[in-house]
Amino acid sequence: MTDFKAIKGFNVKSLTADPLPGGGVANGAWASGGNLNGTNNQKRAGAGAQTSAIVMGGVGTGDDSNVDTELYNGTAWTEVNNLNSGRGLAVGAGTVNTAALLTSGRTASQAVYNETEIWNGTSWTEVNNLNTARYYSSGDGTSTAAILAGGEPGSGATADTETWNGTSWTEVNNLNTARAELTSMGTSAAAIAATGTTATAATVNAETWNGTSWTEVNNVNTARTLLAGSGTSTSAIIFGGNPALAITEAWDGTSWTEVADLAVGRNNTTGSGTATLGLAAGGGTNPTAVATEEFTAGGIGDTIKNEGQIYYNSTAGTMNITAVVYGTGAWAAGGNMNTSRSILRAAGTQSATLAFGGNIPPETGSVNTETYNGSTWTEVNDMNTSRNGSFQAGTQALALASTGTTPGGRTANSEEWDGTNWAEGNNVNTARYETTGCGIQTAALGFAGISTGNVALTENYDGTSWTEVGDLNTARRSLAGTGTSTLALACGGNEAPGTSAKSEEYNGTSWAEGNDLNTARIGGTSFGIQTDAVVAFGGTVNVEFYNGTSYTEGANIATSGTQGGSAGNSLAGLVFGRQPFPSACQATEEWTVPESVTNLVMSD
Amino acid sequence: MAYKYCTATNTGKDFFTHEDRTRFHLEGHPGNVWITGDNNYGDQWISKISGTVKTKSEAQAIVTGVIETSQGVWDDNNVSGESSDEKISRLGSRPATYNII
Repeated sequence: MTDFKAIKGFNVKSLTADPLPGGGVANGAWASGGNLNGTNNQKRAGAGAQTSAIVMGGVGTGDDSNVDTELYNGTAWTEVNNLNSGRGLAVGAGTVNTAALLTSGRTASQAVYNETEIWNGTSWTEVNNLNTARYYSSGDGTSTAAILAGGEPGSGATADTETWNGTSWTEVNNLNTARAELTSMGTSAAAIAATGTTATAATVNAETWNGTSWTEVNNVNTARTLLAGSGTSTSAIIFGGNPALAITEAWDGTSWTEVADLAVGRNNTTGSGTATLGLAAGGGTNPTAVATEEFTAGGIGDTIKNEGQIYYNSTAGTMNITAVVYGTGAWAAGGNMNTSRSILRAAGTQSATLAFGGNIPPETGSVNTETYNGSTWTEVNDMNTSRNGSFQAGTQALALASTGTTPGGRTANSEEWDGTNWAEGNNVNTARYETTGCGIQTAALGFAGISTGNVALTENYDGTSWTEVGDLNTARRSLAGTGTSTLALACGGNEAPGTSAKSEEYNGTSWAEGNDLNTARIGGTSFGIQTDAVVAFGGTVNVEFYNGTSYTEGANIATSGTQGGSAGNSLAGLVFGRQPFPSACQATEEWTVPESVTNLVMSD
Repeated sequence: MAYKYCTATNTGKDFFTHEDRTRFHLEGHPGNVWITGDNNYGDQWISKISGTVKTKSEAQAIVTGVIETSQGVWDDNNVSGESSDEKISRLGSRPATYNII
């Protein structure tokens, strides 16, 4: 007998705290790493990745100008060849420990540097200087493309920014807020600078760099100085700060959120790595502090195993269940098709799509077939009969293409795709084109289109032969259709004359009128199921979502068109191809609704 | 709402991301014309895709030019004895010019 654990992978447990999602920076944690070798680990510069990091220089009590360099492999630090010009409060850049850059800085005896050195994995070489010597600055990037911003040139904070192109430094647009003792993450093309001290006090201010100028963005939660950070302009963490802060904040490209603290609060530590795999080495008020901590995104403690996991929270005294919650969907560019086309048909999912046929100008009907893996379209074996505007059904592995326009006119021909090749199947009863269909290869439905005129005819396929079933209420062509052979949806189209907004639902026997589309459209496409469908194209960027009762306008696609293809479902779908006459388009747009599992309290 | 205009070729995957679409207004038009919200995120995107910034009138001229070319092709594509409805069925409706935002 199957028990709850067998179904949900988790027995009903009593937990003192809610389980956490399994991943993400929000649920990351710091863990101890290997200790530094050096005896003066204050005010060093860092770069690289969590498992390929470099720290260099340093300055502090009893050490005017530390020349030490150490490399980290994710486990242990190793001393390597020294800097040419020892200094602390400098800036490091680099994504691995075999290619890094060090610039700016200061010695304990107040000598301020503009010298720049490049690390090639073995030794340091002096290269061209910064334009403005400074310390307590910040920067990031690589040894061939870095950015440096703010700092103290000698008296007070500066807003000066310089970028490094692998050969020389160039002064570029200033920070909006002059500051020193800040941190920054990113590259010379896209970076973020956060907090630090202005002339008067620590600031919560943060700015992003777009390769040309700085723009103020949302503030950090805790103003601080002498902190470190890792990541990019859209995904970063900042940590530590004066005098011994352990606070870590995560930047998601929009706002800052507090995440797990460092185990040991510290200032003047180094920052290497990314937002999901960060590294803090040394720092603090004790020059002999050698501790390294590694930040790793992911779950800690009890993690959510899956949806439907029931547990008792003994602290809150509540029964709880983990449930999927959905965010706001959006369209993004997908890989371009190899062949631009319109009036094509498709089957499958967002990450496993089959597209076939279509109008490839100046052809009328094509045999061309492509598959999509979520990133790239690949040409596969052609159909036997060229066609556009056909019935469609199935998956990427088992699909069906029937009817359509061929160079000889409308066809009743039907073909089946086995994942590799197309093979002839039995013909439909009524040849037609500008039609559509839905279902799977062994249980499909084809409906509407144009024969000698618009038709309302519907045919059902059982995997062997086609049978006429109940007609649509409104004959039309160039419509959108989706669903299954027993629960289908038809909407829009060309009623000749007239652009249709009509929507009909099929229950396995007959079609019934439902609520209209908000926007009448010809050459639309639809994906999903009868009660949860997405309708796009039809000469508009407007997209509508059907819930089984009514259509609601949602996020628009970026580029208008008509007679494109689509696949997937209302959480993860895609549209592709399309026709801006006389050409066709190869662009793909992917629809994704983010989803996550969270904890909900069970109630009556 | 203010907008910015540029031209750029859609290079496919990640040309614009879901994050982009939730952060700023984005429209694509004929002639590889793209319209973004006039804000930092739109600027960053134009920079990322190496877009060539245009004025609104320049962008409108590109869009209109492409559509007018398409209209000429549509007008010249005729089959003897074909009705207007049959031509629309074969080629789609005649492309129409429009004003961008």
